[in-house]
Amino acid sequence: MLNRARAITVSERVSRVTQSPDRRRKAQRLRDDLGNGREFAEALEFLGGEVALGAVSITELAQIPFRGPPFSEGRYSAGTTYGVLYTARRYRTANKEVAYWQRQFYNPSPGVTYRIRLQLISWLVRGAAKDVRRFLNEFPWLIDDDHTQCWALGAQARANGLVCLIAPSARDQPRGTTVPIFVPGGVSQGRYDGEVTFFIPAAGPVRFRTKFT
Amino acid sequence: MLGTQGIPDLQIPQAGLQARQGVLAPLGSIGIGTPSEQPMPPRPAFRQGLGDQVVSLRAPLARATPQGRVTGPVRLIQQIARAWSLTNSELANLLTYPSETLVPALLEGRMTFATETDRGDRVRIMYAIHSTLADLFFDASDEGRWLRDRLAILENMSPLALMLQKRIPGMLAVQDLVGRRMANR
Repeated sequence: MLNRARAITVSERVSRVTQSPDRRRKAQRLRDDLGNGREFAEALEFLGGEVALGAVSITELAQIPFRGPPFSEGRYSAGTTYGVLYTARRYRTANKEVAYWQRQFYNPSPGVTYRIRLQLISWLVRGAAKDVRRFLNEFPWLIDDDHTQCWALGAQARANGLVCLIAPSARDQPRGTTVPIFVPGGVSQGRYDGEVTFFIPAAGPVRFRTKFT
Repeated sequence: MLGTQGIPDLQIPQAGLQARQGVLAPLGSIGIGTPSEQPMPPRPAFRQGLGDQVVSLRAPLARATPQGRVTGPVRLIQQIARAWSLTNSELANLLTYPSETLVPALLEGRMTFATETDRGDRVRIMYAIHSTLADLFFDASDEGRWLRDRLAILENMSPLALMLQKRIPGMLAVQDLVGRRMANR
């Protein structure tokens, strides 16, 4: 299928919903909790220094999925040999993709609704790509929950040197488009675009609200 | 050794632990902590548990003993215990202390917390989990609730039960769940 897909060169902004770079925020929380004296210094040293508190920039954040093995398992990677940065063309698609997975992480008691906070980040992706969206009817596994064939497609795309695929979104049909990125250096110009709140009740759909900066 | 006689005198009921800054041991003057991971004699009372329970201990030994201080790593343990509403028993299990009666001494700075040990690794993992969850949840009290919710992806165990039962591998599994999947990094 990849051989039949149209080769293109992309230069566009893509979105991801994730926890934003948190090193400074976590260091500040430590200061708030422990003060700025001896205990803070001891705690920071114990934890491995500020570096151990997380990514410092959105640029660094884009590298995290490529650190491994193991990598995170996803639609286009089994997580064993390479990582993928999952993004979407539109922020609503990114929201819907994340919202879909939230239910398995939370099991609130009846009457309780968890409110979860993530951040909307975007980068500019540039490079060689292939658009596989038009093959969805022929290959419905492109949005199937069994990812086996998508893993093979991802591995092939990566072996062919593609920076990314332009692919159909399983969670934002019919027009949502995902952009799985296979190259750590494929994105630049990271930007914080806003905050997304997910509402996860004991039963019923997960809702979300985006607050742009 | 310092004050090992004090241990049998400790009487700590099974109350939920909620370390409070106002009742923690004051800063002492003997450095990072006590000389060894041995508890010193208890103070007359230690406030703990949910609400305002005051737990009385038996009369402390009469002799003067050096007092430790609450070090930075112990402050992190307090943060975790508070955020997760851990009981003394749960915290003792998570940190592999043989008895929950040691927990008040640890949290009050009367017992050294040796950082370069397996226990240190446990606290680092637990703090990483807590730190990410604290950023995720709008309502801070939901963090403790979530720890006790059973999740199908954790073999229908709660994250806390997984950490208690499977020890460090369980903690690493929860850290992976929280850091990679819930935070979507």
